[in-house]
Amino acid sequence: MLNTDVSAGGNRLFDSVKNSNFSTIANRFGVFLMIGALLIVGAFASPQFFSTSNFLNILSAVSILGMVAAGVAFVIYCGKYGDMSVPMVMAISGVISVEFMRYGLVPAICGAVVTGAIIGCINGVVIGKLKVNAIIWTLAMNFILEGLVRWSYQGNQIYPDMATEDTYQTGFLLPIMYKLDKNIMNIDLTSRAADFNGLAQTYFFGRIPLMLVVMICVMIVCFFIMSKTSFGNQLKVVGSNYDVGNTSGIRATSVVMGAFMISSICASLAGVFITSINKVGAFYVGQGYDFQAVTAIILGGMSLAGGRGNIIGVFGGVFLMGLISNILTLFGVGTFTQKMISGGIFIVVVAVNARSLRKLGRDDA
Amino acid sequence: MKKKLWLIIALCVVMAATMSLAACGGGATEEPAAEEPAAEEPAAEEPAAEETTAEEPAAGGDNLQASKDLMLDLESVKGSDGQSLLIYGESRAVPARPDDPDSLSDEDPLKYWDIEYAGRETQKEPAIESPGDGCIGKKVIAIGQSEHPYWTAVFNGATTASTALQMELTTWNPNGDLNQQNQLIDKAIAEKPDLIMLSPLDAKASAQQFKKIYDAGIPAIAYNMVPSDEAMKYVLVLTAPDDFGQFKMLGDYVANDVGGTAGVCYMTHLPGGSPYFARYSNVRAFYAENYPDMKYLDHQSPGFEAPKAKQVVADWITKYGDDLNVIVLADDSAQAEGCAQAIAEAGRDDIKVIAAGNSKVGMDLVNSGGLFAITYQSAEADGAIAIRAAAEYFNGESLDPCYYLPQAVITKTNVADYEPAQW
Repeated sequence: MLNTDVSAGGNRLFDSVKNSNFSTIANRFGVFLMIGALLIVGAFASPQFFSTSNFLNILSAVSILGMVAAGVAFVIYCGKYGDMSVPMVMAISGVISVEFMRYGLVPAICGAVVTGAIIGCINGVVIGKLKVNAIIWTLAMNFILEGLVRWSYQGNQIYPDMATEDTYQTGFLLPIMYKLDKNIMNIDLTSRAADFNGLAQTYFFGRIPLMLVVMICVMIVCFFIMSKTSFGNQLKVVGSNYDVGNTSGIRATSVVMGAFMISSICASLAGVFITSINKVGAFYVGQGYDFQAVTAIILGGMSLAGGRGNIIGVFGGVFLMGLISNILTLFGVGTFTQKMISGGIFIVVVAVNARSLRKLGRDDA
Repeated sequence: MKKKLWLIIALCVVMAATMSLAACGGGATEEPAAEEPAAEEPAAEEPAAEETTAEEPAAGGDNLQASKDLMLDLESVKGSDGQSLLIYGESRAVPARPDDPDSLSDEDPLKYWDIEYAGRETQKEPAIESPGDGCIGKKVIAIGQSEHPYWTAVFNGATTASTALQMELTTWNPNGDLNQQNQLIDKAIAEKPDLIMLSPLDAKASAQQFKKIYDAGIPAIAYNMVPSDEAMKYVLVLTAPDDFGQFKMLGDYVANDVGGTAGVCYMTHLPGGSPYFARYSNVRAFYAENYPDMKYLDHQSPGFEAPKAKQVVADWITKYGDDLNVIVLADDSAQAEGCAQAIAEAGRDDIKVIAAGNSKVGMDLVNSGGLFAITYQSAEADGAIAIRAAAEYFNGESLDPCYYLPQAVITKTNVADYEPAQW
């Protein structure tokens, strides 16, 4: 009898350890298991599936999403659920970069990044200091920015290669530039616009898009910030429990502000590239990237409750989204069915992650 | 607590300063704008309004005669692209409606009869009688759809036309919101204008909208977007782009170029709307009937994001290889940019891409070879010909049930004729 009990207890212990190991693996590598499974499926989709060009296409298609997701991951990691101002940060950074593009690429990119940093700083101060709900505030910020862009440009869009007298009557800084710089009409916009529009069509070794390289660089930098710095550790503590973080000597407000600034800076970089692809700056550029980024981040195993996950997982989530779309198109699956299948995969991955987190004793999963 | 209060105050000051700066920078009056026909981008902002003050009616003279005189030289009214704004396009013959279009196959052109010819054979309610005293000085309210540069151009065109015909035009924009559009209709009725121009956001809701205007005794013109057949009972006239006709023309153009044999992929508009059928189902059915060797390969609806469009086209190239020869796009901006980049990366310059036009991005792509051909759809004329129809109504002239915009195919050889782009 005793033996039986011991045996049963031993089995339970073994099962528990086994389950725990599976949970740990599912939690850490769930998205990569899914990618592995899809790669096997993809082999049947097309003989060209494993070609370098196909993988470059997939990665190139999700490059902008990757930049955005890497930034938003910081917001989610610190327990603030998401940054709904991302679409308009992308749009406004895009139009600012087009405005500054006439002075060269570096001023264009710097202008966009500074714009993003300012918006992120405002978001961070309000959310961190005043403890306003992050979703509501960033959504409000998105509306304010949208109104500003539309108002400023009077419902028009801005083209990098267009500069008539009228062009300088609208916009954020163009009228000021026009007043201050007497030679602004003499700038050779055609070549500057070609440089700017060429950003999205610059390739290394003839086939690796600059956008992809930038996305990978952003991911690497974000990985180090989140995993290897004291700021990353503080984010984790604040994300796990804001009040504990605050009472343990961490300046939670600064940490939250940092997270939102990183999010907005990444979004502004993405804004420059998407504006370069579209060859037009407009208020609608960037719409939808907020939710797509959150989806990729959740797929990557990051918990909405904060303090869990990492950038490698986020990269996996982003790649998974591109991979799903690629395989389904190669199979000739229509858009509606694609959406249903993507939703189904999302539910499976989130369910597996949540279950494994619970088994590991993380009841906030 | 005090500290927080100061922070909130400081924040408000920063916001106010930012907005003032933007206002100075923009130097802007608030401007209406909105969306490409059939809703590419939704939006959210307070309705904006703009008024064009018309010149005074010919003092003491014969208003009708003066109004008719204005109609004598319609060709001289030009848009920002130098094209005539007030010229109607050619109408197409309407085939007999099949008993049950829905029962037909997807590749039967008559399957889409109810969308393609909506309102053309509607038994109308008795039209509100024209005052017949001339268009000069008449007050018209135009309600658009939402904020998109296309709609900015539509209202620009309507404003140019109303100035030329000495009518008083007010433009309102519901920002893509059907409830707001309904409120604007109520507001317009309360203002008792001489005529209301309405571009319905939703074909199904349009019957109720136009009936309300009709019941108020105000004549209405449907413009830009085709309303439901039921709605057409209450409408004086429909003025709109002939999306079906111009895509048949575009499809024919590229089919001729490739000798009637090609593998074709389609990137669609938002599923369900009339542009979806006009720019995809219609072309597919046209090929099935006239060019059976223009083989359908696939269709996808990735929306209007260049990166997504790029991925879809790259996937098509991977899947179909040399069998893919023609791509039909619903949009000549983001979809076309993504498509052009995917083709350039794959080195497949042999693929011919056609799209609905004609934005600046699209015309630039035609110039650079990224697009083979696009349709000419003048956004400014979209607003302007509705004003012309209104003027003819006030002048007591009889109206056809429908007037289309002029059509053309823009290619590398003639693109310069349509520049600069209107939006």
